[in-house]
Amino acid sequence: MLVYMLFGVVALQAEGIKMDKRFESIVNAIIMLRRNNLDDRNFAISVLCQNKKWTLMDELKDENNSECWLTKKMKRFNLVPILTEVLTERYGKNLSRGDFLNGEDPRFDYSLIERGIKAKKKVKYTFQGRVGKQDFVIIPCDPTSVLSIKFSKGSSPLKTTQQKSKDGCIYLHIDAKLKSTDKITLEIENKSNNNVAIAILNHNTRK
Amino acid sequence: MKGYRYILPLILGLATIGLRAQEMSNAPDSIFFEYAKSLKNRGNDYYMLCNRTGIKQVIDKYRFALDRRKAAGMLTEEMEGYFNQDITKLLGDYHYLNSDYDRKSYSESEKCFKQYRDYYLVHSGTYVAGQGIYIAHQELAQLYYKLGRYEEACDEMKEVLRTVSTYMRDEDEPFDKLSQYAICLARMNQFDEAISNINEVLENYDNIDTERYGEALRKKAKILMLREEHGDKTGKSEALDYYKQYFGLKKKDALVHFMGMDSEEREMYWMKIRPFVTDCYRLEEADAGFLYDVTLFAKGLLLQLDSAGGGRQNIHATWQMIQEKLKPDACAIEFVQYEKYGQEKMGAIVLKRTGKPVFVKMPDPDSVLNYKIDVKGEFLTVDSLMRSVHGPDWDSRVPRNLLYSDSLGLNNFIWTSNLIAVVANCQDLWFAPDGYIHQLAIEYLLPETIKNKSCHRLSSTRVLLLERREQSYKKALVVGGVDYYAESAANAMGNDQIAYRYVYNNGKPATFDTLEKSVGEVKDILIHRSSPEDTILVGAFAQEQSFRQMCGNYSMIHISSHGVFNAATIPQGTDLKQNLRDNTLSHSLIAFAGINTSLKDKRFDPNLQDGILSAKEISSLNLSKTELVVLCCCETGLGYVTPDGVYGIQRGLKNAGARAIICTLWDIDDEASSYFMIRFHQYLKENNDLYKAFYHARESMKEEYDEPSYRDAFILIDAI
Repeated sequence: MLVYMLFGVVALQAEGIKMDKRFESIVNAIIMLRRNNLDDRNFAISVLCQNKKWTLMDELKDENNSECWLTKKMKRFNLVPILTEVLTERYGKNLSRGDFLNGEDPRFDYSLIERGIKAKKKVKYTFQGRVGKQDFVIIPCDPTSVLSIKFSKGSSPLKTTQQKSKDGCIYLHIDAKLKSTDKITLEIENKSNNNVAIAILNHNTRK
Repeated sequence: MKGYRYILPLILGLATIGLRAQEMSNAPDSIFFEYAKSLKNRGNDYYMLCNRTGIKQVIDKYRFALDRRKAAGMLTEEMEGYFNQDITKLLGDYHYLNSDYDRKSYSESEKCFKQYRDYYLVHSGTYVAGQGIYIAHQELAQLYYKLGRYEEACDEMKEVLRTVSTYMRDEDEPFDKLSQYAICLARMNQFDEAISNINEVLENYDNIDTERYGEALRKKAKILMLREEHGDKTGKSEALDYYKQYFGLKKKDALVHFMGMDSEEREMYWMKIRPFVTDCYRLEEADAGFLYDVTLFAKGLLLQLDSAGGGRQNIHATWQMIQEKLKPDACAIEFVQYEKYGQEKMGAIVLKRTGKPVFVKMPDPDSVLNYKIDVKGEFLTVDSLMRSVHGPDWDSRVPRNLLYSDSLGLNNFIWTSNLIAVVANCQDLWFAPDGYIHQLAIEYLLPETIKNKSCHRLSSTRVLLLERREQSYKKALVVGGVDYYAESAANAMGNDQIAYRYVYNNGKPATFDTLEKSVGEVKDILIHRSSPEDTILVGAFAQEQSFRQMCGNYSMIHISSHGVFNAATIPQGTDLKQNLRDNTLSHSLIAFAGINTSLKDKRFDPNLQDGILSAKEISSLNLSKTELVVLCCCETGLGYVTPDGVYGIQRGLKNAGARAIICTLWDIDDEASSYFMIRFHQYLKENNDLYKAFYHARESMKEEYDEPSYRDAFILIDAI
């Protein structure tokens, strides 16, 4: 009941963009990590353990030196160690049993990662392997952060529906049906005066 | 009937291994993967503890399990390739640790890590592959750093830093890697970038994590010292500030936590601090008082690594506290060996009753060890003379007779004019050795100008703070006339398997000859002592187990038997990875009853007494009531000389809590040593002064055994 109520809260905030319920549960879990206490961390881990259709979005590479270290002095999710812990427990190190690729891996529907962006800087990530319509959620750890987000395909901008919630999360929907060979670029500008840690989540709908 | 006692456990053990392998060969994939993972984790644990033997055992088990599984048709080519990479990585780790024993292992280690990396480059694109490449870069960085190939180490660390955000296992990993990279940059003389990186680490941990902040302070100090060596004269004073900050944090932390740790935790704790100790000696005369305190602190930790005893005072000692205990005509000297400009150096930190400590530079250890001495027309080095095999015949006694004679100038070379000038007005010199001085009796190499001084060897000048108990040697346990061919008895406890293996040389067991004079020696000692509370263990009764059970109840222990030290090198740590001792205390041992019988059986049995008492086993004894241990056994003063001191029987006894020790620096003559020991105990009985009795006994050797090779073999430690 409590979990359903929490899902309900997320659905209201993402008004206009309807998301798959399993994706919502992951988004919700990551939002809870902002609070940085043991109960919320354990809850996030339990959600991630139950959902076996996500992988690490570790194909992102910024070439502009705009990323920053995720230091203890900034608000951050500390997501990557949690994700690797869950994945290592789940799969061990076996190539033939679900050794995960990255967000491009067709066996998975969802992918996520955490990155740090320097103040007043822009990062650009180019990636492939997305098929059909796409849902993205960009969650800054500090809800007061000001971010600007753009998608492009090749050199042309990609039309997206954006919705920003009261807690600073940005929900994006790409209506165009992408092919796996399409190269899309995600540009995120940190307009804040401080470095910011963000979680990037994707639902590769294949529809 | 007797046989089943050791055959049955052996059969059961083999059966268990066989059963496990059999289970694994047909087990479902998920079970096997868990087993493989557990083996890999165990191998990694052994690597962290620098236990080569352990890693080798894991590799053998892993290979055995894979072979069985392949034979059962349960292993695909892909999976085999994958699992073999675990073995390749473990092999790389094994060779890395082995490289201190065999330099060829460096290239083997590099080959393994590159093979591991290349496999994942071929299978790249997956998370596991990326992680494999990340791990390979780390291991190669560490290897290149150790080899002094700093440019390559830097390149590898750059790759590590590029991907650490993805493959890190905990939140501190990026900054740990950044600080390691900073050290690599400093080695490449890129100091500005190194300092910028380490400042970023400091900023991250300031007021957040004291331990990591302290570690970053130490690394910054090291970078500044490297800069100073490169020509920047301000480096030393800046580095001193950082070292002092680090030391303050560590001392506070040790006072709170160290005593509550078990021996493995203490060892890990010490290994983290050790780079600081060896680095800050390079400060030399910048602040001798600080260096003296660091030495006291380091030895305070070291001499308690394996013992449950000791107190906070051991860690808390300062040079001011030592100074208060000194008489006006005494001085305390801590010798320190350290590395600077890529060379080993030696210094003496001298503390007198008044004034601050003074740092005196000594000749480099290499120059002392390579000092040439004319031996019948052939020029041999001090080092080769120290290592020469000592025997009963005249020719084999010559090296040491020459080494310790007055005519060579070696004494003036070691006891420099600067050092003599500082100690000139002191009558008693209390010194704690380091480096080669552990195995060269410099107290017998005094030049003419200071020959009248009394030189006292200590494990650490900290010992001067101990309560001076009225020396009482009323109750002695005397062991001698050991029957090495006695039957092996049952009821063994804590047998040291590694020590047992070391007395095998190339598959042939060592044989210990009966010491003809030993029975007479121990009986004469008892007669001179005439104490009704004494106990003698002789012949077949001189068993290891009896000794272990009884030794804790005696204020004096005398052992007259064979002693052995198996020499080899031990691994040194780097800034990228510290390491622990690898069974070094198992290399020194004393022979007890039945050792020849036990070795002849060629089979280690944990339930049978093997007649071997290793330094490691001695460490586990409780000798806190023992005022004096007299070892009339060969090479009991020897051991691995490391930045942590000498690891041998001496260390085992100090860990066990024994106060003073008499031991030997080389093989001793049976007859001459009996002569010495009988007179020593006679004089000790007469005047109850340990130092006087020892030196009086040495003097008496002039009557019958007037050669340094006889009389200078024995050293006295911690007679306060």
